[in-house]
Amino acid sequence: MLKTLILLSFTIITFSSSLKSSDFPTLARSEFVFACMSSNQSNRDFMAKCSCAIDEIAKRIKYEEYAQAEAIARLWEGASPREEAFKSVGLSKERMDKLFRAQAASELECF
Amino acid sequence: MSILKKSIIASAALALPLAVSANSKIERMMKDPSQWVQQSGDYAGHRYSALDQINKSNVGSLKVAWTFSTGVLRGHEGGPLVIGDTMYVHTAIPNIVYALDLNDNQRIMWKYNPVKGGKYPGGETMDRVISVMCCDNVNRGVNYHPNGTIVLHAADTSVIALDAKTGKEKWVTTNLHAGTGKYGVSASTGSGQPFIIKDMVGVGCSGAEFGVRCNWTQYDINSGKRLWRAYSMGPDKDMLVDPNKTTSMLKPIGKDSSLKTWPGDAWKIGGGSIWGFYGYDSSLNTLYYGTGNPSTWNPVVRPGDNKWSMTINARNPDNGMAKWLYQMTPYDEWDYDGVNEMILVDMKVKGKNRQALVHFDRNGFAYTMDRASGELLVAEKYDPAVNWATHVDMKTGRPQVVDRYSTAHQGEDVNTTNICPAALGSKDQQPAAYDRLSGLFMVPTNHVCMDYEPFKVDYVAGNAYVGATLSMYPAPGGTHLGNFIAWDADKGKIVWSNPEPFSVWSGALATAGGITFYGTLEGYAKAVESKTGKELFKFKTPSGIIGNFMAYSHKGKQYVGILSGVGGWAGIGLAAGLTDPTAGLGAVGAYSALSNHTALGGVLTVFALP
Repeated sequence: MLKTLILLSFTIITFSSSLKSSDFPTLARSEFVFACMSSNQSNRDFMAKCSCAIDEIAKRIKYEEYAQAEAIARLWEGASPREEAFKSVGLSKERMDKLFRAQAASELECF
Repeated sequence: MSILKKSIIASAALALPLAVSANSKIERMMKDPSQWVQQSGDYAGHRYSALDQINKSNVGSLKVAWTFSTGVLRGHEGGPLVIGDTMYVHTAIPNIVYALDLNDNQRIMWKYNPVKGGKYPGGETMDRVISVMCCDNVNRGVNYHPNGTIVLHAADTSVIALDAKTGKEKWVTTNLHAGTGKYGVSASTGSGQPFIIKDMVGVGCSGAEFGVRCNWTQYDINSGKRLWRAYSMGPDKDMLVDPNKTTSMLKPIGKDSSLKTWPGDAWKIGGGSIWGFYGYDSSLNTLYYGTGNPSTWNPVVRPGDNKWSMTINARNPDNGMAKWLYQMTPYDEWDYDGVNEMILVDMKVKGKNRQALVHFDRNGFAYTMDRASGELLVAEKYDPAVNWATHVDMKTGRPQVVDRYSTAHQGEDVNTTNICPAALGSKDQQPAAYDRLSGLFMVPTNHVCMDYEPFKVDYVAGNAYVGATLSMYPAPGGTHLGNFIAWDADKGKIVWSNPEPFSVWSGALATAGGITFYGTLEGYAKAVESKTGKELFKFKTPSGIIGNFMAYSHKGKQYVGILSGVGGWAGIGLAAGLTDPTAGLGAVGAYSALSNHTALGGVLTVFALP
């Protein structure tokens, strides 16, 4: 039930953001697939699932936003005051929320 | 002022012949643009390359020539050196040093790891050292002495002299101690570059978040013998100051200048760390460095100016005696460390030729000083958002603090809001470059403000001694957290400013090609036209960039290099959440699987024209 609801809301978002071809470089997609396979399973099945996932993410956010979310994620892994500082920054939350939404949608579509 | 200045210049002139002979070899090497022999390129901290093969008309076609993985995760600050045909690359903790053969496809000639059996030379475990590092596992790079030595200042404060040819230890000495258990002292760490002058190497220390009393210590390059140590605060003899001859704002500082500005014995854990990028002028035989914040971050417990924290120091490198001192932020209430780089430029200031020192402080003011006399010439905000002080009084040198943003005035357990800049400063250690062509300074900056709530904290040796809660956000009126600016240090004005989504934490490099390089936290290596700031080149490196750009040439071809590496590998964090959304970011376990495929973490990317 919950899953259907989530799916529905993502469908709406998908429509509103129009499915134009995205600007993700192949290298960024490859890197994602590589990491995704490494943290799940390194086989053909997951190559397909992970490829599907990054394509779905790329449909939903711009590469620039993805790169920024990636930078924020890296900073979140650090523990120093300067990294801590960025946890509270508005931009960080916004970017990460957008990525999380895209990520969740890709999971529903591909896994 | 004029008499004082003359006498200083006269004495410097007498010292000149000796200084030149002792320094001639390394200074000659610094003038050769094919090499990069010092972290800042030269003693003046210009970070300028005279190479012009890569220039504004062709930089757009720049390509990756080669990359090198350091195999170490976390923040990679500083940059590599090039001496002859060899490149020296350092890493974050454990502070590995690699020597790469540029004649043979960057073959690793030797690799040195100071951590043996999990322990640093000083006897502390690597884990313990990491636990007392304030701001990630960074190291700001090695330096070179022409007797064939590469010097590393490791995280446990060990100073390690390596044979540049073989990587074998010549000598090792632990400057301060990082632990509590064994030594019962506070938690100093090492992150700043070792700085080589004549036949000496000097190091600062980090740990103002841990209640240390920091100092600059000078060692003999051949033997590792300690020559002198100057504390940032305390009795005159500890600080190596002469109450009658050492000046501040052109006046003698007088007796007990530091002790009078701390309550009781608070100076003993007073902080004042030194970990930025330094300057040296051989004609004046003067070393320049800045000291950091007083401990704790809670100002209420340490009323007074807390001298000489937050201070530009000008010292004789032979005996450590201070020539002049200038405190930028007396009684710090915001953690505006004064450690940032010292850039030495001979330039016209207000129509008069000056031997100037230019310093972009964390507190948001850019200072232009006469580096011979210590006279304050210009002090202006280099980010319009700066609001904690209205201006610097040019007679007293004191910032005019606004009560509304004074965390001491507002008091303990009160949240003082909308202070600009944040504790990160309008600029942190990421060094600016001086473009000799345009005379402009190329400055990577933060554009971040904060709320700051000080609270009472009791000092326990070896533990964090911060005493403030902070939250940070973009400066009002925008969503971007950084700017890359060009600064006129004579007029005290921004010439151009490029907004960046994040703080710019990488060091800049200006070149004779009319272009300036810098990196971003998303991992973009960028080149802009120095005169206008127009972006000409952009390339995504594998991680965020907090390292410093450098340039060299090999077999007639110009190269530009930059270290990237921040946190872990984000790709894994983002992808790992896929099958288990609750796992979210930082799926550390997956690293082990990945390490079978690739060396993770820090990467040196070297660019050249095709």
